[in-house]
Amino acid sequence: MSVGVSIPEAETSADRIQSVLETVRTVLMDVIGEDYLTDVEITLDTTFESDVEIESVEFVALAEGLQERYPEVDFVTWVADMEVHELMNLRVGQLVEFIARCLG
Amino acid sequence: MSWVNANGLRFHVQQLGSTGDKTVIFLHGLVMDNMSSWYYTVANAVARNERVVLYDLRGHGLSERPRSGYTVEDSVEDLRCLLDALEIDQPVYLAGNSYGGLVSLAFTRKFPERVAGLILVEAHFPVEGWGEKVAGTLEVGGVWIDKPTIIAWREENDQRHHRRRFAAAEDFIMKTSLISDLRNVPPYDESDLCTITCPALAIYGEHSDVIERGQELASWLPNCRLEILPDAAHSILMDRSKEVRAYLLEWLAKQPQPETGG
Repeated sequence: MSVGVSIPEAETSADRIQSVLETVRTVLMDVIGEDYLTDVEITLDTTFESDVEIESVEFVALAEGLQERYPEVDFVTWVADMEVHELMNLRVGQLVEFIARCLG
Repeated sequence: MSWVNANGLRFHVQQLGSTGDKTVIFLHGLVMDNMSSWYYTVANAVARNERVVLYDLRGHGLSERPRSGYTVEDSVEDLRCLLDALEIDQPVYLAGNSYGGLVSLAFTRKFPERVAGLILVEAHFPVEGWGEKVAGTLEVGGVWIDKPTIIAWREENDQRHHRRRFAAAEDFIMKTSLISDLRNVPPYDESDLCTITCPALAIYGEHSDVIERGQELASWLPNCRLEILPDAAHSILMDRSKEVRAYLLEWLAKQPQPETGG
């Protein structure tokens, strides 16, 4: 009996990207510490290795933190499909867009 | 982050892919290594079908770094306590890279009933003079930290992750019992290893400095398959991860599901 009931406007893709980016920032702060990250701007173009200067073991912890926030996202398959150099050169945007796609 | 208290220490542990019939525990190499080398290369591919546990060995990665307790026996006991803490009583597959292979072999010698199979990538095991050689190499590494060439490299690569890794390695080598504990590791010979009867896969690089260990494993373990990657040295897990992963997945798929322990 949904006729006549107004449905809230669906979250747009851009909104979703922004919301996931905020979550990635928050989990990143938890993993590597706010003091360091205050000097680094986290945008979709930021790279984890060159810009954030994240340790590889911290990236593992970041992925775990995000898995907890987004249990429906299949991080295992996503990481399994990437080679080492792709993971090392990953941009924040690639991670955010992947999560947003899974949520969409 | 996932922390598990075991053997009196706090360990950084990651569990992936919880539904598989087999459980694979990944053990990394010494000092500059941590669980990420397995995570970036092989562990997620295995986790598509099996239950995977990765952990940072004591002193490494995000796990606690006590001032002492770096004998092989300490690491074997850590693994036993971790399996108990995670309530894993089914025999597991141990995948060990380099020093992680040594811990895997030592664990299997002590608790053969808890191991379904071994995956040994560039595994070390102690032979006559091994402890002295590894300790000497680490000591030199510790001294090198102050050498002009290393200082210059560090200045050129002054990034947070490099700084953190160097600081951790320096602390580990100079301020814990690691070197003296390694120096005293007794050597293994054929009689120590021929009792390991579980299926094993050993993968080595053709030009590895420990290729002889691979050949000895293949000849001494009654059920060991050896694969040698051409034109490769010791760091095959990172440098030749595609081939390592392919061999490991193919071998693991052929292994029977372990019976539940009790």
